[in-house]
Amino acid sequence: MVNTPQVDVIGSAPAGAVISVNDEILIVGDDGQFKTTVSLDEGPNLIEIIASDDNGNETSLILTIIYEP
Amino acid sequence: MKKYRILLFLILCMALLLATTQAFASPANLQNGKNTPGPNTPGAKATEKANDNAIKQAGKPHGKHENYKGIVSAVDSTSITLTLHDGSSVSVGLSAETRMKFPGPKNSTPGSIQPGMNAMVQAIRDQGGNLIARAVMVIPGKPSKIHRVGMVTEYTAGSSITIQDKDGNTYTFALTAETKLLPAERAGMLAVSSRVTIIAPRDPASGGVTVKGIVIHPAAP
Repeated sequence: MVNTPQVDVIGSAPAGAVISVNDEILIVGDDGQFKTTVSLDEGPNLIEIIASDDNGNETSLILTIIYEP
Repeated sequence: MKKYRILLFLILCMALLLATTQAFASPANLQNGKNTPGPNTPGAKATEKANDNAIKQAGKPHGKHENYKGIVSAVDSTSITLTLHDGSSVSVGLSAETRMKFPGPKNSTPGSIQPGMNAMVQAIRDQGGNLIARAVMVIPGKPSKIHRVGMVTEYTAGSSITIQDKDGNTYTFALTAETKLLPAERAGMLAVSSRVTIIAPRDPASGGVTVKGIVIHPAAP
């Protein structure tokens, strides 16, 4: 549970991997790090994170987070 | 004469005291159950506001939010019951003000919630102690989007793209003006034989096969 209207999603993955965080699409840089900010609605929110490499390997994570101002 | 004046003063004081008491006890100040000392004093206004709020809040949700996450065991238009991870269950009332959140399918309705689905409910208790849902969010078993990696076999800019994955399966997607081409510096390289990752809805019924984004991978050295 958070009381701020947005949260940062930060992670690491192999360089060149493609990450989607809800509607945001990221390409992991040479440092292997990625970061994006997700805006939250009041109440329960979903954050869907999908990562894939250029061989088609894919992994995903679904997070639930509650924003209560 | 002096005695007469004192008596007159006392009578006037008693009359004034009686009038004041009558004014404070006047039924005019007990309208709508309000017991206010006077209509225009700051204290009276505050009391009146508090009374109004109490009347407005009667029967309405109050207190802290309570959050529950579990598997839907029953649902209808008036309530939803969750089986929680500890095996207990909780029933929460639904109202016209309950917000329903369904990731994925855009055409979902509250009737789309089915027993067996994972859900999170944010609720609040009404005056009677009953839980009323402020929001119900369905938690999908899989992400609503999918990444498809493959070689472009057909491409019509702004219209459609077909790729073939490493297993030989082909997938065709629709493109729109909103489709993102990433990274921007490789957008001009998108063509047949490009290696790409396509981000699209997992369930074609939820948003067709419209591509959200295409990542163009660098050409193999």
